[in-house]
This record gives sequence, structure tokens and C-alpha cells, in this order.
Amino acid sequence: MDLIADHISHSFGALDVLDDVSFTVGAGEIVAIVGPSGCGKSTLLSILGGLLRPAAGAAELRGAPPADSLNPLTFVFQDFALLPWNTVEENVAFPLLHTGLSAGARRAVIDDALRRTGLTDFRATYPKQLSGGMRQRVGIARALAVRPAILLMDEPLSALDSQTRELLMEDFVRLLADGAMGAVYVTHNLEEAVRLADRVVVLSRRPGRIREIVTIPMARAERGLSDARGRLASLQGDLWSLIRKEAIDAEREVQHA
Amino acid sequence: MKIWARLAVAGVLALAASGVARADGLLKAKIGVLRLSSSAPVFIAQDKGYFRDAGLEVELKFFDAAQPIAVATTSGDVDVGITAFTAGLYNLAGKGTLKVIGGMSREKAGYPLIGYFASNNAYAAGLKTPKDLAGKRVAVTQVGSSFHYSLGLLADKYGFKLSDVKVVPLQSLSNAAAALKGETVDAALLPASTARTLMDSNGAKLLGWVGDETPWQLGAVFASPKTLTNAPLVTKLLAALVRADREYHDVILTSIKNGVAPIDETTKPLLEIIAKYTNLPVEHVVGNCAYIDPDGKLDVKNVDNQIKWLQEQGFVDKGFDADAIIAKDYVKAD
Amino acid sequence: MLDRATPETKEQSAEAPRPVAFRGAGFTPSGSRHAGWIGLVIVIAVWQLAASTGWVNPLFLPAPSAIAVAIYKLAMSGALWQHLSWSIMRIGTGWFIGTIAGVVVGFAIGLSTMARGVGITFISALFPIPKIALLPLLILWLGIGEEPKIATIALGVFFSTAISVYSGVDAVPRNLIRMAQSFNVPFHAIVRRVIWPGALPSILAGFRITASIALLLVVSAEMIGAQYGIGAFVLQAGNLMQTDQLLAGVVILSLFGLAVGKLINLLETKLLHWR
Repeated sequence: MDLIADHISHSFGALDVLDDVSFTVGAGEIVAIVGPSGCGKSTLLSILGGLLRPAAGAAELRGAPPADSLNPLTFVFQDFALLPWNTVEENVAFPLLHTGLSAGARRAVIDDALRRTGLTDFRATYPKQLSGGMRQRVGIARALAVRPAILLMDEPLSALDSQTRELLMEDFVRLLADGAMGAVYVTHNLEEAVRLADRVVVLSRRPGRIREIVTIPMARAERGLSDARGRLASLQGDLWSLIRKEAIDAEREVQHA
Repeated sequence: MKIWARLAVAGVLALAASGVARADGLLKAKIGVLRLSSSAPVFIAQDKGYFRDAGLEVELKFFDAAQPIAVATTSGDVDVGITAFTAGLYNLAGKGTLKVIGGMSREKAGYPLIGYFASNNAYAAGLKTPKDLAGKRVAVTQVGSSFHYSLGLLADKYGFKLSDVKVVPLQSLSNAAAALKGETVDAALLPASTARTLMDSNGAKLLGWVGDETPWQLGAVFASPKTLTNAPLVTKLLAALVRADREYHDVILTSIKNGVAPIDETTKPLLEIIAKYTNLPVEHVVGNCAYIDPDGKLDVKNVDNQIKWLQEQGFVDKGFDADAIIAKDYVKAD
Repeated sequence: MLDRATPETKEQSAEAPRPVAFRGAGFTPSGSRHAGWIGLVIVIAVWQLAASTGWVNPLFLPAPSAIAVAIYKLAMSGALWQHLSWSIMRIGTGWFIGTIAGVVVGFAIGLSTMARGVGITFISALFPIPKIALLPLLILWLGIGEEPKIATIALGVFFSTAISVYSGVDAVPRNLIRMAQSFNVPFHAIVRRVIWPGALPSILAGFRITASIALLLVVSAEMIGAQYGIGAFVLQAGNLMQTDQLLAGVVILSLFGLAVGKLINLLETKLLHWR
């Protein structure tokens, strides 16, 4: 199943945030969206996931979703969006309650999602008692439980400290390694983009237009190796040179606003 | 400069004012009253300067219920209170914080004050006279109020038990009037002034007046023990009041026919004074003139009866009678 | 490779160290378990002393012992239970009706644009009306039975509940609702599993207020021809200037208020344990 951004434009009142954005996410592909702050990255993701109606253009799907997918387009949120009154297990169960799954099947799905995110021992814990990293793992487990075709990840690591980020990034790499799931990964962190993505969509400053779509010329599996570090760093540098000027202008603009 | 000049002027004026007060030698007194025609002599004495003639400088403090006047008198906020007897007042007096020093309004035949009113439905169903109130639902303002006592007197007169009447206390006259109009009670005891609008809109039927059925001493003049230590003030105040009582009696009360005072050259000046203080048009005042003894006498026997009745009902603490709450030096009994 | 550094100790320097002055004191008041009770006991003791030595007129401020005696007599005569049971019936029914209506209307305002437009206007217009001013109207409409008494309490409770419910619904984090929508969770389930628990803290805080309102209004409600009830008892004591009885009634009302407060505390710890 492909996810297509078809000439999407959007504005909030007089403020234009997206201008004619088009690209396609293929099956199993990971596309990172980067750009200076305020360029409409998160807005674009909301539109792609059907949470926001674009002013012009459309988000479209092509091809059938995997037969067992309960929610083909599934979000992972920056602020985790966990229900504070529910335990870890209940949070993971939440999207399954209205899917018509039998209690037994539900139980198996939940157990599997908790196991894959290392949360089995925390199933009866409340979000408040967990660290930020563990909370985002709950968010991921909840997303995995509905067997998405494409994960829509909105800055999933930006609320976490750098050490936790590092650990979770390793989890993402592992979970996405088999190519069964694609992802749209919105981030302002170029290191995350080059580490995870097959392609990177670079947006200009507001209103966000596509500045460039670059391919990371390196197999995902190779990037974890220690001799890949240097190449990843230089790729990151190339990306940075693409958006540095935009970032400076964007920052000035934000300060004026 | 200007400020100093102003201050100086103000100071001189203040000195002058206090000098005037001293020069006049007037005794100051505050009287607590309701804006009701049952306090007519107070208004007359104030308006025509009888207090001043007697050597008093009186300030009237207006209240909107009887109870607060009794409390204000006890606490010394007013020196003298003039209002109706209530169970609350007797409870204060029973503790020695109030003494009755003179009589005021009375329920008396021919002078409509409180009436018995029936709802239209109850009237149609046969509630035609006060005697029929036995066994009915009757609204009053409060338990232990003048209205409640009036109902008790009626029960005694016609030999039915008060417990046969379902007394419904509704706390305010407007609530009682609303209940009567809304047919949720069979009858209510209301003052003529409240009942007027109800009668005008055909919302109730008059069964009779309390004064015609069971005359009794409705109101009194009372003072705290502290005021009583100032004998000259009390004496002068009562003298001025009796002067006004007499005038009110001779001019207004004696001219009343069928419960209504005529408006003519002799009555008009006094009626206008009452109208001014009660904020009512003269036409409303004439049908609502309380009887007041020309000598300011108090029906001590009835006061004693009231106390006994209220004590029997459990509304007033036991252990005192009329003698205990009356300042015998001042009160003239019937 | 990383080099390992040795930690320094103060013995290595000749100069004597001086402590950094502590300047973080204060501004952290903490509740004490007993202070409240001790304060209450002291106030009552001083009050009793003032009354029994005759500093204050017992009519103006009856001694605590006199109030206790009044309550004791009331309890012994059986009248207390009669008053209490009538009042509890009125408060309970009125509060229940007002709360149900308030929750329904509050949710409607919180969830529907149309209900919001109409509802907020009406609530803003009607909330500030003193219910006591409506008593004659309530008597005309509903008579003098239990209905107007319960209606008085229900009205007072309704507005406050509706306001706290819709502001509670407004306060539910939007991102949780978006999350639920992103999983295709149906509307009724979002209301039941996201909005209701999310609004519950503010709804329970509202209960605390409406319980007090119900207690306040029972006195007004029992102005309408009530023979029994704590409110009627307080009113009668006031009318008759029986100040010890009056305060006895007030004490009973405030004890009742304390009990209800405790009950809501229990409810909060049970329902909001996740906080």
C-alpha cells in the first residue's frame, strides 16, 4: 500500500503553512520529513493521517492494505498521548476494543506488542510512574498492536533526553528492519533522519514547499555498523547544508513574529 | 493653602455644630420602626416635631422585619424599638434584654389589619367564614408569628384544636401570597397591605378580619435595660408618643367608617404624613389604619395570654410571665 | 581511550573551607495532621471560657456547652433524626436530579457546537439569579409539597454542575481525542473512555462545590412550608431567637458538610488514583 501526498497545501487563517507538497511513500519504505521549525512538518503528517483536512490537494492511498491490518495508518505521537487513567496494558488494548477482535485474540496481540517493546513486566503500571522513554515504548506498543501498514511518527523522540533517544532509535531500527511496515518520520533531528530513512523529504521554511527529496545511498541494515559512522555523519552534513540557510531565515522570522 | 483653609472651615463648622447641639440640650434617641401604618404615631410625632418639643432629637431607623428591630434594640443599635410582639421578641425579653414600655397597635373590631383569606377553590368548596378554618391548610409567615397566634386565638374562640389546622410556615408574605394564589393552601393570614394586590386580581377571598374576631395587643414600644436607666429620655419619648397617639386617635380613628378613614381637611394632613413615611399613596393608607390606644395603654392581660400560649406551643422559653418583661414605671395598663 | 581523573578532597588545600550559606528556607507550607484539630479545640475552649465567665452575652453567642446540650436534647427527643432524614432526602434527591441534568447538559455543551451556543447563554443568564428570589414563583408552579423544595436544590446544583462539567470536557487534552480518532475509535467510545475520565477530576471538584450548594440551599428550600428538616429547624430557631438551637442546627449542618466532604475525598481517591 502506497501513501501519496497529492499537491497538498494548507493554511491556518492568513498563515500559509504548506504549499503544493507532493511525494509518495512506497510499501515498507521509510520517508523522513525534515525542515526548519514552523515549516508545517507536523501539519503535513496530520493531513496524511486524516486528522486534518487540507485546504487544497489530498492525501491518498493506492493498493490494498495488508489483510490483517486493523489500522493501516497509525500515529506515534511526540507527547505519547497515553490515557493517564489506564495502565500500560489498558493503553495498548485501547485501540483494539472496537475492532471486533475476540478477547483471546486481543490478549495475544497485546502480549505480543508488550513483548516486542520490552514492557511485559510493566503491564499493570500507570503512565505517570514510567520514564519518558518507557512511555513512548507504550505508544509504540499501542501502534504495533493494530498492525499498521505505515507508521506516522511525529517527532517521536524529541520529548526525550539524548540517552533515551539513542536507546529508542535502536528499537525503531529493529522494529522496522524487516520491511513489513513503512513509516513517515517527521523530525527536526537530521541524525535520526539519516539513521532511519530510505528517503528524506526536505521542506523549505514556511510556507513549506519541497526543497529536495534525497535518497540515503546506504542499506538500512549497514548503518548500525561501526565503520558506517563516518559516512552517516557526512550525509548528515550534506543535509544540513541544504537546510542551513532556511533554518537561519526561519529562526529570524520566528523571532520577529 | 486651599486645603488648610478648607480644613479650618470644616473644623469651625464642626465646633459650631456641636455647640448648637449642646446649646439646644436635646437628648438624642434612635427609634427602630417598620414602614407600616401601625407605627403611625411615631411618624406623626417625628414629622410634627413633638419629639423636639419634648426635648428629644430622634433619628428613625427603618427595618423591614419585626425581628431585627428587637435584636437591634437588645444590642443597643437603637434605643427604642416599636414593632409587633413575636415569639422571638418574647424570648429576648424573657432573658431580660428587653422591657416593654408602652402599647402600640391593636387588633380591634372595625380596624382591619390582619385578615383571613381563602383561596378561590377553597372558598368555592365551602370555606366561607373564619370558623371554617378548622382542618384546613393555612399559610402563615413563621411559626410563633402574629399570624400564628391569631390563628391560635381563633381556635380557642371557636373551640377547635389548633393541631387540627395544618399550619404551613412559608417565611415571607410573598411566599404565603403565592401559595394562596397558586391554590396550594386553603387559606392564609395576611396583612391588609399584602392582601390588597391579591384581592384586586381576584386571587383570593376575604373571610374576615382578626380584629373583628379576636382583638389583641399587636404591637408595643420597648427598650433595652440600658435605655431604661435614662429615665428622662424614656419619659419624654413616651410623652411625645402619647401626644401623637391622642391626635391620631381623635383625628383618624374616630372618623373611620367601615374600616376606611375619610380624606378631608382634618384627616388629610395626618394621612399625608403616614403616606410619606410608609411610601404608600394616601388612598392605600385610609383602609389600613391600625387601632392605637389614645393614652398609649397596653393590654397587659393579653400580653400575658400571648406569652402563655407561646410557651405552651414550645416557641417561648418557660419560666416568665408578662410582669417580668414589663417596665411598670412606664406602662399604663388597660 | 578515556583517561581516569582522581577526585579532589578538601585536605589537598591549605585554606580552610567555609560552608555555603543555606538560603532556600520557607515557601513550602506543609499540612500538619493535628494542627487543625488543635486550633479547633483552642477556639472552642476560649469560646467556652468567654461564655462561662460572662464576657459575652449568652444570647449573642451561646456557649459550646449550651449548643451541645441543645443537640443532645434534640437527639434524645428523636426530633434530630426526623429533621435529618427529611433534609437528607431533600438534599439527596435535589442533588441527584440537579447533578444528572447538569452532567447531561454539561456534556452537550462540551461536545456540540449548537448546544454550546444556546447552553452557555442560558447558563450565564440564569446562574446568577438568587434561587431564593424565585421561591414565590416555584410555589406558584409546584405548590408547597416536596417538589419546590427539591427543585430549589436541584436548580442550584444544576448550574454549577453544568459549568464544571463543560469546563472539564473542555480541559480534556485535545491530543488524547486526536489519538483516539487516529485509531478509528467510535464517538461514543471516545466520550466514555477518553472524555469522561478526562473530565472526571473537574466533575468531582464540581461535586464538592455542589454538595455545599445543596447544603446551603436546604435552608432556603425548607422555607417553603417545611415542618421537619434541619433547614426548617434553623429557620424556626432564628425566628424564635433561640440562638442556642440556631447554632445547634448550624453545627449539625456543618458536620453534615464535613461528612459529605470526606465522602467526596473517598470517591476521589477511588476514582482518581491514577493522578
